[in-house]
Amino acid sequence: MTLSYEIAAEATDDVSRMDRAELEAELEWLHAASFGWALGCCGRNRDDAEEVLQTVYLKVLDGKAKFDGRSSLKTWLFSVIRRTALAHRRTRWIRGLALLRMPVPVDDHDAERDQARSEEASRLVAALRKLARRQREVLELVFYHDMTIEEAGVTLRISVGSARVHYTRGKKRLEALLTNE
Amino acid sequence: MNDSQLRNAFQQLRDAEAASAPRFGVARRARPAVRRFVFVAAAIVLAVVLSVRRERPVAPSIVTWKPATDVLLRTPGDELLTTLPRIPDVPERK
Repeated sequence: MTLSYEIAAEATDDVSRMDRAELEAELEWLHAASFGWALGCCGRNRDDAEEVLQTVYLKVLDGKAKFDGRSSLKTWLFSVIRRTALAHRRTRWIRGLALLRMPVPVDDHDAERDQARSEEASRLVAALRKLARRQREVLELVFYHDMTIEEAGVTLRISVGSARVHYTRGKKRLEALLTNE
Repeated sequence: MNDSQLRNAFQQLRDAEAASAPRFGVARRARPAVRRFVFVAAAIVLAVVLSVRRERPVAPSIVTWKPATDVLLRTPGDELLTTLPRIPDVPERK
């Protein structure tokens, strides 16, 4: 059986009616990419990314998030990961308030992890942190996940025009940050 | 920095993060942390409400209730107002 995540937007009803085993196989195929996207959505906090990804997998396999075949499986899954990461961040903030603790900004700098990356990749992560959230998301989807700008727009639920604006401005800013360091 | 240099930097990041990705697996949680938090908070509130209700004294009935300052209302000669004098027996005239 060929497993490919590049299911075209003109998916038939068969795709949207994938059974659990097939769905799990597709999730496994996309796991490395999904983890990378979850890291991007969670400010590169590994623990948060793992928790978000587990929540997404349970949602998808339990049928709480249903793939309708209107986009590719990858763009749909990435959209679910992004929404789940945002909800996770809000829940943690509210829980911190409820326990009368101000939510402490998490220091995501993990020295050991930074060493595992190349110097160029570490510089890239530091520069990405300085971008506006939408710009960073579009650039990661295009350059890290090899999506088109249109697919990035679908994932982020914004128009293709907005996605292009974020892409252009974000790329310009990122290049400036990487050049000036 | 041109597009290919940018793509190269992202690829290095992708490769490093893919190498450290956890194994694929779907772990079933017994109860989500948020639901557990809400359950504990609700249990604490219920315990406080029940203990406050238990400690509150039952209000006496208005009919049987006697205020502590009632003693101040007793004045000398009070019995004249609450009793009828007994007229002594008049001996029969012969």
